[in-house]
Amino acid sequence: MIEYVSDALLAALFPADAGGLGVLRIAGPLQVDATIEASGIDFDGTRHLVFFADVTTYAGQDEQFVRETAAAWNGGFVPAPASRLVKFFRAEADRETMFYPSEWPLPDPAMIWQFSEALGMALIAHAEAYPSTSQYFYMPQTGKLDALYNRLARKFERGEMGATFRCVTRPASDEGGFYGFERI
Amino acid sequence: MALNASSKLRPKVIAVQKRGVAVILQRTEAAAENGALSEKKARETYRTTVRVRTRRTADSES
Repeated sequence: MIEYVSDALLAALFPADAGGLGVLRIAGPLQVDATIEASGIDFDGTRHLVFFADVTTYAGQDEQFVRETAAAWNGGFVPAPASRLVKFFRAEADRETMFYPSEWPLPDPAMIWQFSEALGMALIAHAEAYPSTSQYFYMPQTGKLDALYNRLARKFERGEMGATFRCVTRPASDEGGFYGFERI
Repeated sequence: MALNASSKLRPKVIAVQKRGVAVILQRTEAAAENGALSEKKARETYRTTVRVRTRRTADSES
């Protein structure tokens, strides 16, 4: 079982002296393989990875699982081909702690607005590099992350991020769900 | 409509995420081992100064 992200990917996304305190830097996307790309967000000295994974790949090639999850959480919404599940986490996090936001706070809680913009910018960079990807999905594991993606959805719909996306699906269950953004 | 904005974890979501992240880590490691990530440098696409919003406004909450 792999616990941490490969050092080779970290070196490619976070070159020495490129980021640091007071700097927001986004790099990528970089192709990992045919179904996964990765970007890096250097945010005031903290490093965050953003993975863009083919939905079926993320589900371990289990298409039935994808269908059942969509039916349970998002009213049966079916992702478009080549769509990507977006997952971000701290570069230093292991497979367990990465899911707990309390383990990886931002340097200042008031930075959350700019961090949500950084997530949006990373998405736009991917959309520009991979025009065949029309839909992106975020799966928040807490209500606070849910609010962050909801805010991001409004920014996209108002055109504040430059490229325009519309929100095509939202969580429809109390236990979880997906935000889905589709380029217009 | 967003669900309740609390810090409470959603166990079923985390179970799905753990499964997906295991795939990502495994495939990234495989790419590194076969040299697909060697000598690569990701292009910088955005750079700015970090800012802290000190006061909540109606717009920031929207």
